[in-house]
Amino acid sequence: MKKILVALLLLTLVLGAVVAQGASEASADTYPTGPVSVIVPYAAGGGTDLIARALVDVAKSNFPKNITVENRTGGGGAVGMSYGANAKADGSVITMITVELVTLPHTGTGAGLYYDQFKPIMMLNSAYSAITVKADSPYNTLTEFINAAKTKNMRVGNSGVGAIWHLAAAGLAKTAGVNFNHIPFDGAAPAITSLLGGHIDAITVSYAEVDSQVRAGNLKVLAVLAPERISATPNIPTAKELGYDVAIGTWRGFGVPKNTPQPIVDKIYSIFNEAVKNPTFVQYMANTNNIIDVLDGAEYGKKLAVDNAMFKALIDELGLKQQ
Amino acid sequence: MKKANFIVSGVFSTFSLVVIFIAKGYPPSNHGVPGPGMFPIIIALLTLLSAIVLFVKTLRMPAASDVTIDLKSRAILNVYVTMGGLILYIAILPLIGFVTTTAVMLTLYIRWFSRRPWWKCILIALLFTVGIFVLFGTVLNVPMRFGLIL
Amino acid sequence: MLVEVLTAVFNLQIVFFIILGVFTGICIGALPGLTATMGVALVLPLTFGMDAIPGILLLIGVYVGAIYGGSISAILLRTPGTPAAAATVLDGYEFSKRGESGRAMGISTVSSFVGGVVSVIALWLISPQLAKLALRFSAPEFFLLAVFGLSIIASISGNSLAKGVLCGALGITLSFIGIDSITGYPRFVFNNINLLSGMSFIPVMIGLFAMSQAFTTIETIFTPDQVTQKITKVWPTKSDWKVIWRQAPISGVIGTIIGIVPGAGAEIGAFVSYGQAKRTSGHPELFGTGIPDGIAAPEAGNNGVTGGALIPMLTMGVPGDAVAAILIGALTVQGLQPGPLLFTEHTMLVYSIFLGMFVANVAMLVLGLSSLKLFVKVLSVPKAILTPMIFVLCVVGSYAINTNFFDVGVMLVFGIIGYFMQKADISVSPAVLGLILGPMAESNFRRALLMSEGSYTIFLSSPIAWTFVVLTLFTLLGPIVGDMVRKKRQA
Repeated sequence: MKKILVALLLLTLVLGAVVAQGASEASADTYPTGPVSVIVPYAAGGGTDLIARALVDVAKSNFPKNITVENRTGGGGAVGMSYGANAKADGSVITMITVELVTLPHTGTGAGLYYDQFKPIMMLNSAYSAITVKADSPYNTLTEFINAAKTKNMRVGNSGVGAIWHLAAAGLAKTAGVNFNHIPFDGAAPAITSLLGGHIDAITVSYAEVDSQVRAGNLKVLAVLAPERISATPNIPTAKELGYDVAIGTWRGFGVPKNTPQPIVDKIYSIFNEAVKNPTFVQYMANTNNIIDVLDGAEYGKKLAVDNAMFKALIDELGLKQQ
Repeated sequence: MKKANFIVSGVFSTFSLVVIFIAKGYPPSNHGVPGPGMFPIIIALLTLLSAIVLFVKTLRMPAASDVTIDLKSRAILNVYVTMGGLILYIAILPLIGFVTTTAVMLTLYIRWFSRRPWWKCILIALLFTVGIFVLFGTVLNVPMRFGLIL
Repeated sequence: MLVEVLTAVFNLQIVFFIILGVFTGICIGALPGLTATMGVALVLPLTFGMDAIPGILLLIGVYVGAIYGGSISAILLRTPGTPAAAATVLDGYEFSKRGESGRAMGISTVSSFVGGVVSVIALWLISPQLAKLALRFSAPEFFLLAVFGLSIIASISGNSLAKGVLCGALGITLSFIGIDSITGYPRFVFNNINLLSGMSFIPVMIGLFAMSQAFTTIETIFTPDQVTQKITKVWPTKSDWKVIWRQAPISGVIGTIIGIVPGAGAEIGAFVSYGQAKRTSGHPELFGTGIPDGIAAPEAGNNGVTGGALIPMLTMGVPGDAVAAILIGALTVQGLQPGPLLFTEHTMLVYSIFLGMFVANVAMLVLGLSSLKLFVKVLSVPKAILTPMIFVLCVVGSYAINTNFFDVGVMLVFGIIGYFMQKADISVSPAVLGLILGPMAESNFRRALLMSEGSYTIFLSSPIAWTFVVLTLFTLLGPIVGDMVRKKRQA
């Protein structure tokens, strides 16, 4: 009986190996030939995950062999993005890449990750830092705030040390020639809570994260660190208008391993470029305060390079590089 | 119990010394804000102190109140074998796949523990494995397809 | 608002999930070796694909059910199904010896319900107020709150304080692994990318609680299971009702208060309630001989903890016990951050949790009174089959959280460590306290100094801070002073 079991086990092993070998010969115009997985480097249920799932849901019909979202978390996104960068270059694994792709390598916690390991397909969405203070704060404009910061050490909360909103605050301070006392919290929510309680002077998280408190009249936004005014909030000035030329924000997009054939990349781009226009997805993004901001592969590639250089300089200057 | 306490005390003292050694190399405090090494060192010192207290208390414990801890009997050996089997199981799980590895593992353990006929063990193992696979893989969207086979 | 909450909770799907959760919870609790923490941890991955309200209520159902279910095996088998039912064994098993196990379970069911309902009412009345107060909590207050929670280690380490501290310190040390939240410096990472974001909490918990217990079960795997007896007359008699009404509400309140204290869980709630009932009783000598008070008090006490533990969890993101810590994970996965903002931005969800928890307690009462025989049957699933299945659940459960095989390894390592810790008579509970409260203490201590630019006076700058300092001193010095007083009296 035992022998039979062992024999059975071996047989299934061999058969399985053969099947697995035969299944994966991808070609460009027939893409997708097999099941496709979208790697999300953050936890299920988080902002990045929900956007990925909403988009995949509307693009489903283009993937007859099934498309699934896989969360591979860890290392602040490095685990999932490294996995995606080293996947098979045949379009079967698409990775949701985020701004951490160009910040983690410079803080020394990217575990070998670098942005040129990916061929960018498209950028989907962006969110810029909003300089937010308490509603009863004495500062009503960014200029007032910055001038006050020249004499007082402002406590500016962010969502984590080395995280994008920390870099945004640091970038503003650098441009304006002042110093902030950066207070890191574990995520945006505790930072917002602390600001509401009056324990810190300002926060630099995205507008979407403070929107409900701004509407409730508890917080006010002095400026956004965006290249131009955000269409959802046309009354809030950009820092650039006020004379501080700094634009820092997060973005999300799709990437595939760099050796993926161009025809497959183009096919994936055309599928998702349609999907972002789907009313269901547009509605979802509007409901969740996310801004759809599409760039094609070439432009996205340029943005990656520019951001990479900017964050490298900023992180070196802040002394955030570890080891 | 005495021997066990000495071992516990020894293991934790060594552990705390290693932690202190590593944490000593971490960046120092900055403008009155403790650096990353301060808390690990404080906690390691607390560990060391407790380990020493345990050692001294055990030393002064009357021999009469000592109970021996069974670490070598037949029943305990079964636990070690089980642990070994599970280490092997999770080592080959990602390589071969969930369904195959799990079904084999379950069959062997159930057969060993319950001494039911082979066919019953295989049936129970298969049903449970497939049930878990469908529940997590399909209903809950956890990626369960990995490895050479399934 | 009220109508919205009512329609949100009283729809077929949600009520179904609550009942399913309570049912699963009772089965898990009834089986010796499967604890409430483990049950909630194992069910957690199932909620990832669900909406927030049904997902959280499913978990709360399991929690409520498991804490109650532990009494079934405590009464029938003299083995607490969960640590929370350890106090119930003392009197509960005496009932079974007299052939009155049905009566004992009836008392246990109704008392658990009363305790649970008291805690839900407390949750509903206190949390919105505390959520407002929570805005006054800044880094120094959170630090002192964490220290107060950690001081509880002194009271739960049982015989050996040294071992308790060792175990708690181990938990805190584990929490150091990963990127330091104040400076971004990677600590104890050893160039392993999987360690960068720290030890995953859930796999460690599954390992320490579920896996290690499964290993312990292997020791007696070849000893046949105990035979269970017939259950009759579950509905309490008139005199039993009187006892329940006298004892259960008080014990429920005690349990709730203990639940609110960070880190103190249902097992402490049960023992403190039992002790209180004995102390205030007119006939303390009868405790342990099988009297209804001896069941009503601990059972109302441990279910009282359930609602209490959610109070600091929902209002401040500070877990009241190990299960609440897992529930924080469950909320985070849904994109919800526990804390005062939850009450203003997701009011519906918060009140649905309150109402759903009440429904869970009703479901527990109904299931307990109607289907006890079914749950007793669960006890007859042979452990020789159940234990290997628990192995699989532990593996899949720890994999499903991050879909990372590294976590499965972590789980197994901690299963083995937990097993040997049990052998050396070290309770694993302080490790959980350390793991949860350690990072809270450390990061808030350093954040406070960052905010004050190095001045230590910030730690005593508010009445809330002072309150926690006094409470901590009381917890740490109370037992010592009590000892001295007792010795003096004897002398």
